[in-house]
Amino acid sequence: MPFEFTPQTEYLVLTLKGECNGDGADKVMPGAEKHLAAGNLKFVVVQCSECGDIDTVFLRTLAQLYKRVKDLNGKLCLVHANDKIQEAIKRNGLDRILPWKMSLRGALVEFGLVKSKEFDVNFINPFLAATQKVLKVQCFLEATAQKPFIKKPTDPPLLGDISGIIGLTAETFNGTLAISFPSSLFLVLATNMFGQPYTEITSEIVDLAGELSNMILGQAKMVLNPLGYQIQQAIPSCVWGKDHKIKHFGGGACVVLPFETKAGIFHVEVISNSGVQEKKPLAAPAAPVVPGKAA
Amino acid sequence: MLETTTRILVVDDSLSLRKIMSVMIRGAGYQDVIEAANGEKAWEVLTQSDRPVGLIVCDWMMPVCTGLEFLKKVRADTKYKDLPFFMLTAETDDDRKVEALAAGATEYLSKPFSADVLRDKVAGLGSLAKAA
Repeated sequence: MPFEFTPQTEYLVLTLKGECNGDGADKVMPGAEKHLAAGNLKFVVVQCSECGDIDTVFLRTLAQLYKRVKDLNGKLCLVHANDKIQEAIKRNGLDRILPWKMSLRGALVEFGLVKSKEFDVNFINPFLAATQKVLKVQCFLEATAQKPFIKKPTDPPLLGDISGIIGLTAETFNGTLAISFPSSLFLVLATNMFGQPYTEITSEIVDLAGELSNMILGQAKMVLNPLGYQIQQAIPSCVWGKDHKIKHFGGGACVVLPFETKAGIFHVEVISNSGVQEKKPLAAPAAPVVPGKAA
Repeated sequence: MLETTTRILVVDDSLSLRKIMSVMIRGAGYQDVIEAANGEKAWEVLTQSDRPVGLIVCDWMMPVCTGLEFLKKVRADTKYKDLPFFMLTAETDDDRKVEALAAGATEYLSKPFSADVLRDKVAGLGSLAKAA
């Protein structure tokens, strides 16, 4: 079948694959009914990033699905629909009942599940889980997530002494992920990982922060990309030194994820311009302002 | 299981990760570990090694010559066509895994992974050899 369902906590994702013609269209409604009922859901995201075209028969099926979620006081929205799909919807006069957005976040704002100026927990939660997994598996350190918050430009920097940074790019947004450690915590990580004590940041361990950011993004992608984010990662970099600064790439809200460990607190920052409709080219992973820098 | 005297080549542009991999491998009982910072250097080390290399553990994303390019070069030489080659990457896309295995990687490991996972993969090499 050219589609599959992926239920989320607050909505159902219907992912379309390849050319969606009449084949298998009759299986959409029974599948949707089952998932909507099981999860007590009323919102449907139709993920089109892997779909080349949708024929009239399949569009009518989506219209039936729209009617069903409308009866539940819910909504349906397509995301990542290409020009061909958008044209087909218009040609069939269905553009008022099958709206499309450029990103999943756009659809969630449309559903009222995310406020346009708030960060999207569905986007941020995978980074929380990924950070905890990477620290546990690679650094043998349990990290407890604290409450995330949005950093305003006027807020003081929360940075530690060493940061790993990696750029991320997707069809509809760009961004940056940074992980920053106080040197005391970073030395504990290095000591755990290398099995020998470190009392200062040396060239041997300095690029570890960048590699951790790379792993965290890789793990988060594993959850986010099936939802349609289509994130690709750039090459990580590393900056360190007292009062070093990170110039984030993306220009959107900066979400700070604090983590507590027995060796101290560290922070992960995620910034993305996910509300922006047009993709911007990823020129560089980030542009750090550095007392010290390692590629 | 490989002989514990087997020489293992670790390839990663990250000095810290090369060191971590070496620590993991030595911890699994293999003391003869040599390192290279990219695929180009790794080819030099591989072909000029005074002892034969019995396993390559290689990162994918590296400057100069990527892990995939290095893997293809290794497999193109009949002398190394059966040399075990573990591809490592922080990339989690299934397409990457398929690409690496199609190019001749023996195993594909997504970072992060524990020393136990690596040890099991190395132990699995013995099973593969027996099965073949």
